[in-house]
Amino acid sequence: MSQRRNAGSRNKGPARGGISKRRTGPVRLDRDGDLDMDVAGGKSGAGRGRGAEKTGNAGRDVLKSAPQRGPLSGAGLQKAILRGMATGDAKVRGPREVGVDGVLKEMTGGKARGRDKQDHRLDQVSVRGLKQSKAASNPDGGLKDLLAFLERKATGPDTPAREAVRIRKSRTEGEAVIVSVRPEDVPKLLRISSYTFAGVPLTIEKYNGPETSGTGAAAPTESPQVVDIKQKMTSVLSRRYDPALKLLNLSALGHDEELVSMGLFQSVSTESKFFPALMKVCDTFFSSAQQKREAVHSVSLANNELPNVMSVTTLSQTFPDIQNLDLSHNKFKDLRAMENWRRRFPFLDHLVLTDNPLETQEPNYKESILKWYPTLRILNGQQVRSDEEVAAIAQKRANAVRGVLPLPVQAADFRDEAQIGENFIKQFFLGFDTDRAALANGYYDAKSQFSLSVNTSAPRAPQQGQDIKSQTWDAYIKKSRNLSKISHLPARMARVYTGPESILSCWTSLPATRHANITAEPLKWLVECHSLPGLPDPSGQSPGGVGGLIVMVHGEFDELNVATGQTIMTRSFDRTFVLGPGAGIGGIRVISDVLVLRAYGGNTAWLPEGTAPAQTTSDGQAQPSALTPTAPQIPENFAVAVPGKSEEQLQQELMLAEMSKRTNMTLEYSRMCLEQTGWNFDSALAAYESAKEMLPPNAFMQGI
Amino acid sequence: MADFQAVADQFVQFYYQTFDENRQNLATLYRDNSMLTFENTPIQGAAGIVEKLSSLPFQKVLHKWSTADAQPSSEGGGILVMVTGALLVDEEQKPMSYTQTFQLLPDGQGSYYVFNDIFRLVYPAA
Repeated sequence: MSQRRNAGSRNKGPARGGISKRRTGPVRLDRDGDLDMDVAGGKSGAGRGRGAEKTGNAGRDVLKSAPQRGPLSGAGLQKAILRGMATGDAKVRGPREVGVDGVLKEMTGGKARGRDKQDHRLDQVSVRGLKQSKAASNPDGGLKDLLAFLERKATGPDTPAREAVRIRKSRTEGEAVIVSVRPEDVPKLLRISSYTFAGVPLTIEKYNGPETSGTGAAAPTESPQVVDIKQKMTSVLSRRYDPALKLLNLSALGHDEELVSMGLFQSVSTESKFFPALMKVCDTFFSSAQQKREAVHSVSLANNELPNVMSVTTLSQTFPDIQNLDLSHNKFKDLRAMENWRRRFPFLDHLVLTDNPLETQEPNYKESILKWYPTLRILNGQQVRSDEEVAAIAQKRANAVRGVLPLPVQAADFRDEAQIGENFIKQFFLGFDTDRAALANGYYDAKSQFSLSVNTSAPRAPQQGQDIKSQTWDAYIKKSRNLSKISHLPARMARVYTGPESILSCWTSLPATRHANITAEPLKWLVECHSLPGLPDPSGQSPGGVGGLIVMVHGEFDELNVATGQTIMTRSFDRTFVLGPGAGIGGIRVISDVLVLRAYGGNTAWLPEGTAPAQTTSDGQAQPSALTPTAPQIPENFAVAVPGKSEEQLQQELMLAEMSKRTNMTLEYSRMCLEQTGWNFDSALAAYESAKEMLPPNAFMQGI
Repeated sequence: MADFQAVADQFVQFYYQTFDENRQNLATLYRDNSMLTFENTPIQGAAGIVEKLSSLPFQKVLHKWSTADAQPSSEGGGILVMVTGALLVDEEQKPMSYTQTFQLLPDGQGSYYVFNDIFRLVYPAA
């Protein structure tokens, strides 16, 4: 578990720091740093002429795997880089003695990797209007008041404290205040756009990166030093980028006079921050991963005296999709030097590791490298995997990543024996809905166990006819045996029900249910079944145990009001049964029964391909699938900005849409509600809450 | 007998921590007769299982498990563990809900290994 960490600490000490000018040693490098893809013998010549030759030869590899694809050509990138350069200072200045370290720190946000982790789950939203507001004259420019206002308004009344919107970070960028919040809070903030703060309506939008007005220079809040370093790095990058080969040549960085003159290699501290900062500058050139993929196919880090990839590890984050990587002429002693890049670069086609000590010190490294990089075709200029093999892997992957999900969704794996599992499931849930006593006595014996737990944090699928806020678990929570919440042993034991009587007493206290009919609505269910040996044999004849089945069921049920037969709400559940031979119905008994309840999550996760894929719109809102109740008719262009529609009308429509979505009221009733409260969303929602019991049925959209 | 709940508890914590940090290290938890069912792909044997887990198409992963429950299950002191939770992969910000059912068996040396591991996404993205 801590292998990687160990590798890291091993690498500390004198050999730390990566790209170095100080430890020059004999210069044996390709100053032009052509990506020497045919460098099998390790010759390291130099010169443009030879470079051209290579383009015709090994360059073919680069070009072959580098077809011109998207709209952003290499020339486009170069233009972007040059645009940045135009504002820069092309002259080489004397060494910076002070502040480089601090500047790099500012650029990389302190610890590059730590920050990445932290920001991983935060989204940014831009808020405009503070500068024009009355609060701008406050000592702090009104920022504190604004943040408090945003949190308060976005949270709304009646929200449990732990769901309150909290602004994790904020900064100003020109006129705008950029705030970081959890992704789920973004819609809440967007909803309060146009709310009036200190006399001025705020404009709240998703933040899409700094504005590139004219020069493309850094945002105004950055210190001049940062702007300066960024411009110089941009200049270095533009010089080192070959748009024809789509090659970013970062070889022999320690000998780059421009970089040296910036004082980047004067201390271990600046050295360690230099590369992450450089990658950060690279990131600013691209607005999407797609652009990056198309612009940079190859990277050379040759001739950098790297003892390992620690100092340059951010390359795998900035350019994860590169196909060609040259690491020749470095100081990798063994494979541990590359540990940080193990299984990174999932599309790596060609890797060069020649002229590293590991060639002699770890002669078998090639085997591991092949495992680490499943699409690697060429190692050190030699074909190590056939084109067909790589193509097969690519195909497999393409299938796997098809659709919007990072993981494929698959049909059930059902390995039943003699329909035992199938029959059990059909009877069980019918029995659970109609006659729990018969069920408990029919399938459970003195050693059978049942327990349930409630997953209160599972996401809820969009669903009509039911109010999101009334997701209560009162009937279940006292029996919930969630081991992450219940740690006291007696409390845990008290929540396992053993034997039919005990199990039945628990079931009887649970609300009445109606499960979807598995034969009529199979898509609402996912049932999996596997054989399971070594189960207890109640007859005691097989000391090694007997064979049985483990059955996993995922589905949904309606919770019913017994008096009226009405559905109170629909919930989802996951349930695992262990079935063994026994004296129960059909010769089987339930050995274990573990039930998990959660908010309704729909069935989109396991719908077979092509029936009704989960749709995700550009703003990340899940759309109801074809199997969830149909959406009501919404007027064309409703809540969409179109020419001729006033801003006020658009805002009102947005509020109407949101109101309708949250309350399930029709647009007509949503409008009545909002009009009565002067288009104050929070007040309208509060009014709805207090009046919802009295509303006529036609106030709501017709569900299910 | 060790308290099966404490075993389950420790196991779940260790499993997901290891999974998120370096899933190759999960190899120690499986044996040659272990069976992983990942979605609908069954794989038997520690080597194949770790290969499968390692080759899942993401680099970073974070499991946030919400519930865990356990019951003693088999003759030889096996433990059935059922977990539900959410996982985040790479830069994806929308968590995917999953359930995972483990059958743990004692390895005869005072410890446990994973005999069955059944993983399933139950809600694609919130």
